[in-house]
Amino acid sequence: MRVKFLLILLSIGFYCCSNINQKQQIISKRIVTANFLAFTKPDSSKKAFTWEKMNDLNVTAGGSVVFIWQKDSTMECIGGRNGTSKNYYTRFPMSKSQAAKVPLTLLNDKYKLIGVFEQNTDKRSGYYFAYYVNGNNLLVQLHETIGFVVDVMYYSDKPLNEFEKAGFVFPYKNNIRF
Amino acid sequence: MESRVRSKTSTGQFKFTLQGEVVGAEISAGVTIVSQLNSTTSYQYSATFHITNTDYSSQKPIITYNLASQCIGIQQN
Repeated sequence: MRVKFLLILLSIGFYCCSNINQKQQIISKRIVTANFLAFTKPDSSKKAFTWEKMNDLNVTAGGSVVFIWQKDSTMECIGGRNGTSKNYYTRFPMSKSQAAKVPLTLLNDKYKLIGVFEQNTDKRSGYYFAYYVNGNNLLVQLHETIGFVVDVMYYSDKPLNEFEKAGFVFPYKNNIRF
Repeated sequence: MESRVRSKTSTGQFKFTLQGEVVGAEISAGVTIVSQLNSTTSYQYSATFHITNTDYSSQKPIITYNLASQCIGIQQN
């Protein structure tokens, strides 16, 4: 009986571990359409990112921005007037030590990590994008060598910044040591 | 020593190689540059590599190597 019980415990453990790995993979196609965008400014005296006002993308960028994640772990970002600005991204396969530096969820598990992506035109430049999604709200973190966040942005279909409302603080370092 | 310019566009995307562009410039239809950040990274490496072979037939060659590297990135706002 005890052996059986141990086996069951082990299998549960393995199942949980495999689930954690699967969370970073894109299982189905996902689309986020954003009409509002909030930038942050890094503040070295507060050692945190401070939020700016939410911009209406139809006024400042000539239209909404659409993010499309495909099953084959690629990503498309369409923006600008009549969707003229197109950027393509590919998912970056992280090592175990790198994955430990990127949290899987943010803001009380509301925002879930889709994955870490590299822009196809700037591959191996050392810049990585981490995308967190909650419905039609999207949080983007720009990493300069995974682990060092150098910029944070928030996209939404509503003019309400959930992170600013909750008082969530993104720490900022302007001196990066590897 | 390496310096980079990181430009943020009005659609929230980043351009890493746009040197010489100014804030407010329109880079494609409806997309303008909102802000720019400069960052520099300094690299320091030192390496020593040493091989001592006493006897090939009875002993294995002794290899010692040391490597020290430092990489510091500073963002200027």
